[in-house]
Amino acid sequence: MRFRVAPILAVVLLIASACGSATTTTPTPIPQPSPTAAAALFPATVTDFQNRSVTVPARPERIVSIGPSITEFLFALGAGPRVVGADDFSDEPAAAKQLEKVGGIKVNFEQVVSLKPDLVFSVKFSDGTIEKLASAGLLVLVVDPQNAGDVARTAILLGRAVGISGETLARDIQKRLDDVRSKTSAAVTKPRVYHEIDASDPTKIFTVGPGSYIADLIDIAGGQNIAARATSAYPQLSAEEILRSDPEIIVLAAAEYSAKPDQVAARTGWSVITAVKNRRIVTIAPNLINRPGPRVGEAAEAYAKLVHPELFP
Amino acid sequence: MVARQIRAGYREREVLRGVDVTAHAGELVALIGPNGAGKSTLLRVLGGLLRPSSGSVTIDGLDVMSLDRRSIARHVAVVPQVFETLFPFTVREIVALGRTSRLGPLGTLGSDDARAVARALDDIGATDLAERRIDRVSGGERQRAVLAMALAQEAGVLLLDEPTAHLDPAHQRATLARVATLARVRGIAVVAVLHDLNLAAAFASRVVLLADGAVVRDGDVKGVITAELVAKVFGAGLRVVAHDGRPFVIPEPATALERHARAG
Amino acid sequence: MRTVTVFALLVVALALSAAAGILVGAVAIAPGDVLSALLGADNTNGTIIRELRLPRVLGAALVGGALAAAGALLQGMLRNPLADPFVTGTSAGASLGAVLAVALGFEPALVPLAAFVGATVAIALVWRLARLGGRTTVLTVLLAGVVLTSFAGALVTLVLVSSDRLALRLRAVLGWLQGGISVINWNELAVAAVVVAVGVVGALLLAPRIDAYAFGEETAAALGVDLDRTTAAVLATTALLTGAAVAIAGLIGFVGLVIPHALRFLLGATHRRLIVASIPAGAVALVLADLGARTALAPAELPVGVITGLVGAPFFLALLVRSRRVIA
Repeated sequence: MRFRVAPILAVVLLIASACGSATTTTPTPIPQPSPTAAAALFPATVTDFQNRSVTVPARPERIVSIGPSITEFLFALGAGPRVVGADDFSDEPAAAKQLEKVGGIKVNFEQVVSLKPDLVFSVKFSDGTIEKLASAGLLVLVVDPQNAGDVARTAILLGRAVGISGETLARDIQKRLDDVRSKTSAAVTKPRVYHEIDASDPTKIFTVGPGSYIADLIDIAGGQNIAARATSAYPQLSAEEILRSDPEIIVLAAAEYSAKPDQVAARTGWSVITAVKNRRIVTIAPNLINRPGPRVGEAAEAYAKLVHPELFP
Repeated sequence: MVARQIRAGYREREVLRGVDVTAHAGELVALIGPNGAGKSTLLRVLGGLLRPSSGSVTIDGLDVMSLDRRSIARHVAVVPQVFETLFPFTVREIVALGRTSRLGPLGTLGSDDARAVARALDDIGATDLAERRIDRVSGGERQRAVLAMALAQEAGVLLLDEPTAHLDPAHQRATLARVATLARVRGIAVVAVLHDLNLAAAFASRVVLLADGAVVRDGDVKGVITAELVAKVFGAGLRVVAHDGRPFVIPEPATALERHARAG
Repeated sequence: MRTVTVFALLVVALALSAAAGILVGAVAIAPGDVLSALLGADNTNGTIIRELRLPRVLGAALVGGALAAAGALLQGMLRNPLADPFVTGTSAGASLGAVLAVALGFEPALVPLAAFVGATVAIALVWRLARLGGRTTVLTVLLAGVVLTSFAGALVTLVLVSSDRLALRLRAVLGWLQGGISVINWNELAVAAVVVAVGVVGALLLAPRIDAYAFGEETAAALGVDLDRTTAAVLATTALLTGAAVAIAGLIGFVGLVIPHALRFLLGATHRRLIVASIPAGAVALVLADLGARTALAPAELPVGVITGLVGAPFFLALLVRSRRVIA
């Protein structure tokens, strides 16, 4: 099971939509403190979301980012010029596209090492990629937010590691999240939501559960995740369970590999589901929802609009 | 069965260089000759299992080569030389295989088939073996089962390739005696490749001596198994004696061979 | 053992295991509700039972029966109790067909069809390769099958590894390659049932000629079997049966191998009897394997191929030990 989750996770967190990205605004970058002031910030001990502690000895000047959400954060914090390499899927902001590519689902180790980074940020991998990077002598920080609040705090974590204050950015993101939550908490209904991560194998359908920030977004958006009682962040559901839990809204990321709404509606037996009967099968831009990045507030708003259109005209 | 001017072989190697053989109903024709003479090859041509490069094989006037496999099998039955099988068929089921060429489109065995199977088992004296598993009987019993299978085909011609190869002397005689009797009683033409010249002498009504892909002599036992021909084809070391009006081939004792060798 | 007894036992076993398959699933449904669902209750349980579980159980039975019958056919023709549909390269062709279909971006619904076409092409190719020597012998068919399996396997791996994006789409194919009764609807089931029925009829008609192969091909010819036509017919029937099975359930091993082999001990070697009994036996095996796949690590589903492998391999080893000789 864990082996399966890794590619899913990678898919979720790395893939950018090939079919056009929505025009979104990234929060304005914070002006950098001067280098001398930065010197006092190092060495810095940073604790990640899995309680691993990493000590960054000096201000990193050559950063490699493995994960489009991380890349967005780094640029939002103003550390963009210090990023020397990023994964294939990092495409926001536009400047990120010019960076050296270090691999997609599979990390190109040689490429990473050849860039001589003094700090590597990465999303979570369960196939030994992190260990391999570490054993090559590189300093690796894993960024794996478990809920929407963690995403906001990623700004602080990254900021501490690169020597820039991420407090303001974090606060802005959190405020946006809170605004959405307060609006939806006033809603009369709490519709059952089924968020489909990947159903390319129809017998193994993956959704989001506790520990996934997307599940948290569903909650913020005023929905009730049908997999809320699952035991992992990306649990596998059977068609029987989905039918039984009868979601009122089905949310699909509009990525190329995702199922299209009419395909979902045509699945055997799914016609009895409320969401299918009421044609509430909706899509959300993948590079918005699949990235625990600085635009997560915007993602929450977009999600809330889908779940409670009456509150967000 | 008439075979005319058969030339046949494998790939580029021609084994039979113009052979004529005839077999009539009731006869047991023994095909003898040294190794590599082409006896087995000839048998396969007669059975329609090997296409000759030239020449023809006819049965009652019918050209064997023009027939399909099913029809050939109704006219010619071949007793296989190798009959090892891993599958637990019973002897009766093996004998029933002989009816394959006569099965209807549905492939079920009818009363005619059952009768033929029973008759074949009876003729061979294998009725008591009928329900035993073929992979659990002795070599001699397997031999009889396979012979019964060929008989069940109810073909006019029976071809055997060294049918006594793995049998003890008693079984060898018993098998050939049975075959000769069946040939007469059922009116079948039998052609048998035999290595044992004495068996051929004892049971064959006619003998064909083959060497180097050609017929050396074709005639009755006394006319073919002679000292002169035996020496010519098989080399020195064999003596032909007459006993009870029949020729017997005896290997020379070792000392006599030495004498021959020294004489050059 | 009397044939009728064995057959009756198998049919009873099939009914029982099918019942178990319908009663058990990812969602717990009380037996009373299951019954009313079968009788047409118009609620979620009804849909789950009638649209999801029932076709799945029936699909498993169909696939198991088809694979077992194909295995019996091939073992008879190849005179090798270790033969199974996949030895002839059918699985290789099927998997290659599926992988190519996904790589070329076909509709997901067309992928099983591509697999079926691949299976047929593979069998035709093996047949041609085996005939290159002028005469189709059993050994050359086996060798050609092995070669084709290796080659197709290499191609599949190449395609899968060469591209990240393809790897995404092919996740589905990977799961399918490991064997699993994918969610099928009644239409697909009906089509597959017709195909399998045709294949079974063909297999039963060919059975007496397969018996004649007992002592080898030359003897079969001497007994009156048209070797080329019969081999072609057997391969075609096998392609039909295996193609239908693969289209529904991906690659499932051991059923075609173990079932006929085990039944031969009980029923003797006559192929008509063997094929008739193999069908319910194979069906039971796969219905139970699918049940195991659905429940062993619930709610996750194991690939059915894992269950058949885990159970089939030791079972087969036990059979080997029991029988005295292995391969001719």
